[in-house]
Amino acid sequence: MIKTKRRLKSSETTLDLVKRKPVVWLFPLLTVMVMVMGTSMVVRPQIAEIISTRKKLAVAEETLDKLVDKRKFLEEMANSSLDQDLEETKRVLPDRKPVYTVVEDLSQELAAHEITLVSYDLSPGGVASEGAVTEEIPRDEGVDPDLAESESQPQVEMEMARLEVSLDMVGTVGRMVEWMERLRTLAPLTSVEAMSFEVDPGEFFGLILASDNQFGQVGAISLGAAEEPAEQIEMQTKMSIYYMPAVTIDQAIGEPLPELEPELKKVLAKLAEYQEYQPLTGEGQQLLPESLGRENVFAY
Amino acid sequence: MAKKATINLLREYLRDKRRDQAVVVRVQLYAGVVLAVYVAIVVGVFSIRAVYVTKFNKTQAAIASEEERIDGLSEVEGKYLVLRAKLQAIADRLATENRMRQYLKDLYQYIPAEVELVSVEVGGNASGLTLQMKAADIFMANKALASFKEAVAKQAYVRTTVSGVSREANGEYSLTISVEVNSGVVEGEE
Repeated sequence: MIKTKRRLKSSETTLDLVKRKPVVWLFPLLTVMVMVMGTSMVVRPQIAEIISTRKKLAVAEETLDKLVDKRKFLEEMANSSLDQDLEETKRVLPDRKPVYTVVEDLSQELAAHEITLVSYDLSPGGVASEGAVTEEIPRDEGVDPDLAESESQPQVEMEMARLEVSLDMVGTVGRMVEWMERLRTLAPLTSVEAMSFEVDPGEFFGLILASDNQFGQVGAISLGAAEEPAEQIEMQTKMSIYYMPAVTIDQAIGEPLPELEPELKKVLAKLAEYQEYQPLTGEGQQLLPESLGRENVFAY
Repeated sequence: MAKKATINLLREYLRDKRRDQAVVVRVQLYAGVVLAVYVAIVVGVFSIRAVYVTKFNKTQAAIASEEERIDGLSEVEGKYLVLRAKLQAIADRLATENRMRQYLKDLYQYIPAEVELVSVEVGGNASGLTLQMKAADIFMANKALASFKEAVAKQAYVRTTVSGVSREANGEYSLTISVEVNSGVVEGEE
């Protein structure tokens, strides 16, 4: 009770004091004013800046992580068999139109399978010119981390093209089946678009479809009676020989490179099974334009 | 008495003055403490900002450094992208080829033994197959068509069209059947 009375007395005294000397509150009022003005003019903008910088930092750290991963991946690739793998891939899917391969080696290849090439027809298409070459687009420099999210995926714009060849061949069913199977492991990549016969090809289709091979693996085909030197049949085929010309690289530096999917690794492993056309030997080799110092007019 | 009263008054005045001074000091002290705490908070905010800005600048420098190193490896990157694109193209091509082969295999079993398959053609962009068959007479031709009708019923082909029926000079019938299979899925396969 005594303390309460004293406090009340003291409070009354303080109020009295304020009434008597208002200058007592000058410093506290000044403090409050500094706090209010400082909060609105300094602290709030600073906190907003901190939040903004924190967000930028998170994006920058994410970008840095991606870049580090990408750099490590590229260093790993540089020390791996990338060149060898690329060469192997280019052997199966060349950069340039394989016109001379078809022209020079096809009859030799067919002869090796005891098939007579009656005629062939191909349309090599456009002749190489400067305008036909697609130059590489340089990558963008100095990617703003703020824009990292909107960057496009690194990509190579490449389109597979094909050289169409029509062949008219004569051979036994057995040899034809062998040839068709051979096409499935032939480099450059070749596919049969059409097959037609004037007369019944006998077991041909049955034999062709008998193997359940995948990715060009030649399955065990029982030729049976067809293997015997039977009647010669004439077959017209339309084949597509594939290549992948001009490369346009449009890669964003900040995006990681995707690793090869298992499916692509499987394809890469299988490429070794692809064999090239039987090379010409002797005088025939001189027909190749490079050996004669001539320009490959389709090489672009 | 007057002197004593004056002394008491003076004492009381001095006591009041001391008390007033104590109150003034206390109020100023409280305000000073509050101001000091506030200034400390402001300094803390500035320090936190400085830490973030420094860290951000360091990260930006590291990014620039990594970009420079990656740029030095651009040849490797280009090769890898080409390798990847080519492998993808090969994989797609082989997958299409295997798919079309499977379709042909499935269709082949519906061709009656008496009917000869003489031509097979893959449609543009592997959208379908066109089969040409020869039948000795109209009954065999009809049998082949009936068999293909069964195939259409069992398999999920998009469209099957008999695009040509002709009778040749030797009395044989020639049938051309187009099967659109691009988005069709063969039952029990794949």
